[in-house]
Amino acid sequence: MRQPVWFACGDTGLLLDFSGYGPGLGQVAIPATDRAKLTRKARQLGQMMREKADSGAFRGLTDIVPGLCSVLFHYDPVIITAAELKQIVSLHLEQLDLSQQTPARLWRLPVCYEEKFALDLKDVISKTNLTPDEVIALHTSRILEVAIMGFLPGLGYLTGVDNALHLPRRSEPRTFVPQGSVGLAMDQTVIYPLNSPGGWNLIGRMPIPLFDQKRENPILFSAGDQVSFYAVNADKYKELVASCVDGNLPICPEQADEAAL
Amino acid sequence: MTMLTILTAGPYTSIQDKGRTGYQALGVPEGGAVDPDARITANWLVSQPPETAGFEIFMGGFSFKTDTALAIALSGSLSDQLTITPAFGNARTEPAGQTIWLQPGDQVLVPPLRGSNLAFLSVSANFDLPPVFGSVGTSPNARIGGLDGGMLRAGDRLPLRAITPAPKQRQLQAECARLFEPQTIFRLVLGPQDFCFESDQIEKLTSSDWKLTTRMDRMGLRLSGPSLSHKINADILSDGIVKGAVQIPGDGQPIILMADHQTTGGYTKIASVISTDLPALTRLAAHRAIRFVIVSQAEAEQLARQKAALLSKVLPMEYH
Repeated sequence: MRQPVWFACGDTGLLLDFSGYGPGLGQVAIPATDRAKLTRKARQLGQMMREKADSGAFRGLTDIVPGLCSVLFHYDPVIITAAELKQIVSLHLEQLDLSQQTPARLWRLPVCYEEKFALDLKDVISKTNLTPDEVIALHTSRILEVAIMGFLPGLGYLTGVDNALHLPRRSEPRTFVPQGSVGLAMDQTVIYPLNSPGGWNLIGRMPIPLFDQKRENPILFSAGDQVSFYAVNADKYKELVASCVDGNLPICPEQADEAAL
Repeated sequence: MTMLTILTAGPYTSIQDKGRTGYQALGVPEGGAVDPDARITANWLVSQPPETAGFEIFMGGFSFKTDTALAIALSGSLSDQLTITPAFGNARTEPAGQTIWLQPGDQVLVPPLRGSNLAFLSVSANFDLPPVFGSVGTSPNARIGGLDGGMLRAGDRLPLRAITPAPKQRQLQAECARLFEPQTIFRLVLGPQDFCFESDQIEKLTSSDWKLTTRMDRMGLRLSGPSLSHKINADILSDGIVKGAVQIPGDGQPIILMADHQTTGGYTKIASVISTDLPALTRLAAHRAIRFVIVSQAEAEQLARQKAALLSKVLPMEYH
């Protein structure tokens, strides 16, 4: 495996990249399984550094953001330098024990795939040569992994989607995608935490808010968690929406089986 | 309850503070005032801690009314003036960069800004708003903070609490005011994806004039100039993003990412504007031309420490 590479992000960020790309290598294509492994490793290093920083072992680290095969350390240059931070992180990288992973959570999430929510189902069917039932069966068949978070509070990019559902983004992004919409693009699926613009192919809607300021933990899942979907009808969807009022959360996660991925 | 009532909001005025630190792994933008120098100095002028929330005003055209006595100050656009209209009697003008005293019923107008594209107005009180992830600052795309997650509108009423009883009369000294002089050369640290560009494209980045466009908001500002081409394409494996990152999408026109940028993204970032220079960039209006020069990460860190030392010297933080 290639050595991880450090990159400067101005004077407030240091990126550690595990994909091995960089000067001389360019943008290399990495097989999906390697990518998932490297993403987990980067994320675990991030977790370890967060624990160390929270315990007061050192100061100046302001945020840690896992990416695909990388982790970005945000820092305050008034308190710590990139050179010092590199040294500290490198030391911990040597001690990183991938077998000591904290058990992930598995969220089983309901999705209503009925026509009124599946705005792009016709497109998806014609591009994939699948029937609507097959699309639903494939989308609910896998245990997916929250590879990284981004775009909006609570939005996770879920990887592990069946190859038959891999699709390009819509050529014309929508200016309005309703909250809870479930979309497919590339080799991933997402749920929109808020009404927002978006270019993913919409196949259903998920009634539990990914982000609700009224909840004690406003964000539902985070990077490293697992997700699987099950289909519900419109009546059940409505019932679940109603049960989420006032920050109520009608579901809870299970402990994930790491081997399921 | 004491209140400020917004009379005219202007094109893009919002409540901002220091922002949210430590939640980007959940997709929550850092947010906060895009010009921290203006926020820190304006707060100092009203004897408030530097992280306190105030009004971030793009382009001006902002006015409000107070129903209580308090102090205010405008920073970030030091050559502009405010108009204070009392409930009875004649209006007066007051300069930016010093403590201004208001009486109940006074109306304050920040006219269209001429000295800068951006100003920060602090009040000697706290907004009585619920913090989200530790901040009342507004991130409109994430719809968090402020009154309802959005920009301010005419008619909005902002409850106040903890009005400072006796703020000091203060004025920004010349050494500090120099921080707000217009700047047209901005320093960059190369990376993280400068390797996605041939050296002639890096050369083009630093040898060309770049113009700010009208496409600017709290997420980013788009430049126009010669197109920068990638070795292969604009796509990378999505990674974390810092404020000031110079992102080069497929069309080759740079976007400089600001406080409300997405926490992760999949476009190449050729370089980052250093933290010392980023506030001055936010004060430039559309169509202004800028240039870039490259410094090392260590030099940029040194400059950040120098600025912090200058601010703590010219803004002695003994409150009350």
